[in-house]
Amino acid sequence: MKPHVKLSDTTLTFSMYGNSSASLKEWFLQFTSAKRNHHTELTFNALKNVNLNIDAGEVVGVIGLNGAGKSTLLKTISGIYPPHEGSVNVAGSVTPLIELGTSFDIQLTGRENILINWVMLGRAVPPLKELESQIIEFAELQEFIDMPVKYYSSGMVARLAFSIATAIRPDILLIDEVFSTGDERFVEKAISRMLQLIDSANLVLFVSHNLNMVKQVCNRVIVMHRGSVFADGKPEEMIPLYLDSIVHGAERANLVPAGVLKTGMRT
Amino acid sequence: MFHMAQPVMTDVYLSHGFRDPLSVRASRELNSLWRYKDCVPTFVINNLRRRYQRSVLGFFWSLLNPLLMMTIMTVVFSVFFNKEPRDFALYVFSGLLPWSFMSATMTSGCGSIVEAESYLKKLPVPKLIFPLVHVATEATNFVLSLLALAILGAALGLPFQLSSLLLPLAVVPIVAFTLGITMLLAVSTVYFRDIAHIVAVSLGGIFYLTPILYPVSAVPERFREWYQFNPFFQQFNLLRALVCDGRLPSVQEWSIAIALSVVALSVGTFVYLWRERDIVYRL
Repeated sequence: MKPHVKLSDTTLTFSMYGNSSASLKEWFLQFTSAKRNHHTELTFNALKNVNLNIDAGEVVGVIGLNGAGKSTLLKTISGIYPPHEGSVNVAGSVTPLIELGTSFDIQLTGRENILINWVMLGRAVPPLKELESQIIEFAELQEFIDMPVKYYSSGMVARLAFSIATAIRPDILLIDEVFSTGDERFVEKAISRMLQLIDSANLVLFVSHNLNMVKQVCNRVIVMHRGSVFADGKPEEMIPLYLDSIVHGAERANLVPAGVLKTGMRT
Repeated sequence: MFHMAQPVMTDVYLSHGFRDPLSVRASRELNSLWRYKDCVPTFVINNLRRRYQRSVLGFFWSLLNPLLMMTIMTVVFSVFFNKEPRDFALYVFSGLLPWSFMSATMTSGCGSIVEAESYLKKLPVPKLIFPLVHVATEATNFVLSLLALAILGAALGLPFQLSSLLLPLAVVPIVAFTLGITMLLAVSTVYFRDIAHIVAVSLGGIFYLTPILYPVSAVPERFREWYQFNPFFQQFNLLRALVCDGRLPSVQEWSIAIALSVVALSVGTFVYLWRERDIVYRL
């Protein structure tokens, strides 16, 4: 079966909780009518009726302002967020490169963290031994790999995380701004590996604010705005459209609060 | 330089999210657990490793800790209460060790899903992994503490009970019961963060209501029949019969313990599957 990603009418509703929202007392209190609606919470649609059909061979750039739903879209495709409405259909092995390295256990050594991150990507242990030295070599951490990660610099953590996540070729690659740290030399190296991965993966979703890179690697671009697909098409048309109508356009005026639905008690 | 092996697993993921029926979600969960099965031993080993990081005796502490604790208690009881160690040591510890396992696992297991937020928001791992890892880690220590009990028994010169060989059979329902309750508590804590504190206080009280430090015969007759409703007592009852009394538990005793475990596991599984989709939105 060819890898594909299909979202039908996908809607995600987020609730924002205050500090004391989820308490047992309030849960009991809602049974007594007097105290009903005592607590309010804010809900908004992180994704709103998203319809997408992505086939093998497509390298899709996802662009949009902060909070437009780009990362949420990737997390929905990878299965982290189940949709409240509509459906998500994914065929193929998925590697999410989302907020790399933040799930490291800093008390443990780099080598132990390679194993943790490896199994947490849903991969079997046996082939790891062959790959371990390649991961360490690419991350350039030979001398430090048996030291606890708490002694690493943030650049070293980023290098290690990137090397682990990209050590194997997936069918579907989900990339979310992974070059925030690391020195220029490593970023260059990482970008070249990323391009290599994009070349070999069958289907790529690539979230980035780097429009030049999006133009360079993608053959399709989706513009997200306030949880919806604002436009979808060729990079050379979509990037100017995004800059004109969203970044510099009238839409900017009514940006916040994005898609606020209602306030009230939800159980 | 760059490993280009084809990924082993190709998966098809179809989710209607909150509208998927229970059977679909249950089978997806099983698939997912199978796929991520290597996480459990990896995390258990790392947990144990981290606990004894930089200590000279390392993993040996898992054995030494209960041994020292029991030795101190034995000395205190025999010196201050004038009890003969041989009379009470096996009785007290065959209750205390499983109790400590159950109560400590449940208390700290409340937070097992909440504390895994950083993983759950970044990777599509099954949330059940985390209570499983927690219980498995504590169960490893529990089994080692039973070994320490055997050492203590030998040191006190107590005769070895042949029935002790059936001990693994009595450990299974205890672990299963603890897992079920821990699943239930871990999911509930996502919604009501107060639960961790409520559980800690309640278990502190239940400890004194359970015949661990005192014999059942010390309980006034009119309360005694209530003890059969204490699930903790029913769980370590098997272990105590095998190790301390040197007898095989009756069919009734086995059935009660196993039934309690099955109920706990079922409730835990059901609540987990019921709330599983929503958990990531509540962290």
